[in-house]
Amino acid sequence: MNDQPNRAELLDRINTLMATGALPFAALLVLDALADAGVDSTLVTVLDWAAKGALAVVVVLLSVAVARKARSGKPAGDEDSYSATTLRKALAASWVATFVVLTQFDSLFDGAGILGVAELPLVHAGEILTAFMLVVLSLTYFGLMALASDEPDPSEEGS
Amino acid sequence: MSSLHNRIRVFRAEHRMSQAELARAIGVSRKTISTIEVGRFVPSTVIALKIARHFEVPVEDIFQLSDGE
Repeated sequence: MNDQPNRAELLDRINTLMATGALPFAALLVLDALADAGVDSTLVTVLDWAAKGALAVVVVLLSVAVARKARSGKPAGDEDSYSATTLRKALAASWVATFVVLTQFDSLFDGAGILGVAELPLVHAGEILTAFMLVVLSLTYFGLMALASDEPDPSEEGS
Repeated sequence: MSSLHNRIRVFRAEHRMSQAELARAIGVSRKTISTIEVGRFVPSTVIALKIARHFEVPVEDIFQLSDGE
């Protein structure tokens, strides 16, 4: 049998890669905010550049994906999979969760708010919120994928 | 509430096809086929029609809607 993955399998892997990549990106943003608060200038510089680099990679990848999609001019055939549907659900969940947090922005980040972070600069609040959104996206995706336990196909055993 | 049942596993067995082979034949991933089979993922009309066309049967032979009555 041909073991080479088909296009749909590759698209599934790209979706999983996106959800996986969200976690280190989120960690980078949080570390950058923490390092900035800790006034370690060398670490701040390194993390700043790392965060900018990661952001640039994300922007380039998204631009390529959008350009390819626009050029193909096809309807939503590529999104017609369990993985793509799960990614869309995860994106929606992360948006809703972030929106809820934003509605409580004042009480969370202003002065001695719930988080106890006094005078948190807006740029760091933005980084932490972005990281939160990415973490929710990733965890929701992998949670939903795990729910659909991928049991081995009995018809393939021994073949 | 209506629920969607399918007989993909039966048709695969009759045609001696694995999930991966059916997935490759209609251009989806194996995970998509396995989640449709167990009822976790409701396929689009396009996928349902592709599966029916592959087995050369009407789509109603593979997918049935039960009203729970």
